[in-house]
Amino acid sequence: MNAVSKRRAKRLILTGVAGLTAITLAGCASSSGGGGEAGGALVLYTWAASEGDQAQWADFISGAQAEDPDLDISVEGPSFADYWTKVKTRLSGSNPPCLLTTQAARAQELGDLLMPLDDLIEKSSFDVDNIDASMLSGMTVDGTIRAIPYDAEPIVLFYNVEAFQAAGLDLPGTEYTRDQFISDAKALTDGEKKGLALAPGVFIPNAWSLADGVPAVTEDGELDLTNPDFVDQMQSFFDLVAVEGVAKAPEAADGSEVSQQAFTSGAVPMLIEGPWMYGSFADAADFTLGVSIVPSTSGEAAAMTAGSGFGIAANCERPDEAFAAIEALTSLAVQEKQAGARGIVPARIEALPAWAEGKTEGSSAVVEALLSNATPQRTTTTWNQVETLMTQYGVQGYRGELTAEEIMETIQNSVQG
Amino acid sequence: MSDRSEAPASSTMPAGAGVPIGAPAPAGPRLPRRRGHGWVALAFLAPGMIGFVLFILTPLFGSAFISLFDWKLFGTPEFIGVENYLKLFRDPTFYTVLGNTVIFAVVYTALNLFVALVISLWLGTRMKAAGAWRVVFFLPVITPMVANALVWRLLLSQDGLVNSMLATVGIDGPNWLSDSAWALPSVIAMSVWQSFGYNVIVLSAGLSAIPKELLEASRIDGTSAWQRLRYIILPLLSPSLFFCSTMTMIGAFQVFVQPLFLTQGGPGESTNTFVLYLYRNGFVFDRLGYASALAWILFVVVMLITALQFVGQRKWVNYE
Repeated sequence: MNAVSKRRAKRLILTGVAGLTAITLAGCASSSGGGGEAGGALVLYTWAASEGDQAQWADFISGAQAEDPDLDISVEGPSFADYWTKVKTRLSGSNPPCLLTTQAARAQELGDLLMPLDDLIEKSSFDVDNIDASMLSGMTVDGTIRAIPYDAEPIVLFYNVEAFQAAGLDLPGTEYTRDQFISDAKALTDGEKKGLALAPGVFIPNAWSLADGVPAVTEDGELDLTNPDFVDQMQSFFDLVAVEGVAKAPEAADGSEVSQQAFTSGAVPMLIEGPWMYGSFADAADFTLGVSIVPSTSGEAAAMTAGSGFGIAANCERPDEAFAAIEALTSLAVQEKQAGARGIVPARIEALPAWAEGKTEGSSAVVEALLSNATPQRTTTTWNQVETLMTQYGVQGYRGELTAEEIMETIQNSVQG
Repeated sequence: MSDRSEAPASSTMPAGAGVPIGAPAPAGPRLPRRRGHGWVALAFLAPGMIGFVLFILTPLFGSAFISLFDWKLFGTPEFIGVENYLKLFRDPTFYTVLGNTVIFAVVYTALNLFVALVISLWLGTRMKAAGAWRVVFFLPVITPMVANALVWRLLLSQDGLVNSMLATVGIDGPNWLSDSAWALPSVIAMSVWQSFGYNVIVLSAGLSAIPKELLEASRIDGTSAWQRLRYIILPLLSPSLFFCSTMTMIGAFQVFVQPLFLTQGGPGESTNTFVLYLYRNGFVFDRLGYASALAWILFVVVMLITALQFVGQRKWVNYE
């Protein structure tokens, strides 16, 4: 090899090494961005991929900054679906964020990531008595509060007012028995056109069960799927398809949007969902939206609440600052604004009247009645597995191929095995 | 290049000529050392080697390491030795997903090869627009599998196009994706449709390499089409068939997207596959150690089946 070739080879190698170094440094630079925990903006890590989510967080922050002009919060995070996995890896990495969001349903799963807030609550004299008790209970892990909820959403029954009127049925309100519900659903069912739309998974069946006061998890936080009362509740829910014939069995891969579209298109007149969907449903549907309770055996209002809140990362180095930010983010003014503009049912009890603005008559009475007798969606650290298995096996329950007892036993054994 | 001019210097004399037996071999003419070539070779190899080390070797050994821990996505991992492997063999779902995957792999590979072979033979006849047809069959391979799966979900849903078409001829179609008897066949059908085009290309190339004279001569000798296929085409196509069967089988064991988007592994566990179960354990159920143990078992199973295929090829693959 001559000298020119040698120089070329060396140049080639040096260029390659320089290129790789640049790529590595660029990668490091990008991965270290966004934390800012040594000072500067507090980072809120949350579901923030969609435009709707980003607008919501922008509203929260601008509202909080109106309370505290010095507050500096930046937002980062993936889609809602990816959040629950990525939040764990994000907190394991360097420069973790200080502020996180969680749901009551996920508080147990994220328990290790979230700092107990009891001392900070006491130190800052934060008034927890004005926060919905069921949501605070849902955000409690090992006896300590891990997040301050910003919404408390009791699961409700949405219905098509015109469809009820056309069938000559009384409109349900703050009371609705299961017998009456099944009778109405049968009256609204006509061959392939069913009375109720269903989504796969355990979320809605769990709300159905809690409307009768039967939980899937014991007070001690143990999974209790094989409890005969819970099995009966699940069987009665499966029977809406297999025995009563008032609903079509959902397919396992259906997202919740399938049942939601069936409802808003007017194809199916009833749907059990969270009240956070009110605004979207009202926009999409060209009928009057009715809201009632999830039917219970007695007909009395009892709800499963779902909702989200702000927590502080267990490894946050600025907990006092972070808690001050949470106080501003969950203040009365912010919650009233969110309730009015976005239809979020606020966790702060004083802000509840703001939710009634723009809703159909009786809707807020239903929500108030439900919140007066609410239970959080209490879960376990293994709830993801329950949700996944219920999605797989629920199909067979609705089709009458397996009983609720067989399905619940299978799920309980799989999760604990 | 300098090494070309150096080569004849050592090859002019036959090796060992004129050297007494038992005497130490005389030192040959000393060749100039080829300096600098190693660096050039290294520069060319480096990108591939770095990629191999970073993206193949490191994750491979990383997963072996992780499989010995109770490792969550957050928190401190706890060393538990081979407990993940022992737990795996006590897990009934492990056997179910392994069985489902083996059934999927065998049926899918057989169907895939059969369809690809039939279509390759058809395209190999003197038909018009064979190239355009190849593109048509290859299109599903290059379109995103997620999109294909979602379209198939619409087709096969309870009120989907398939059942609507069956209804027009008086057939009450099953609920393809929610009936445990039909769910796995539906997933297999979608998977074969998605991927047989790749094998069509490989087998078409193999067919075009078969000498036309051989087929012509056999025709003159009065052979039937079946005899030509059985005694000429298939033996000469066997290396391509072996390549296709091996690669298709390896891919089949990694099936993931189709059951996830068509059936979520249901109804029950009827379409739950090995990689879907592995993924869920790692990233949904927060059990990275257990998922890593599953990954190593899958690696061993695929290695064994591939080894079996290589052993079996001696009996049917013709490299003459």
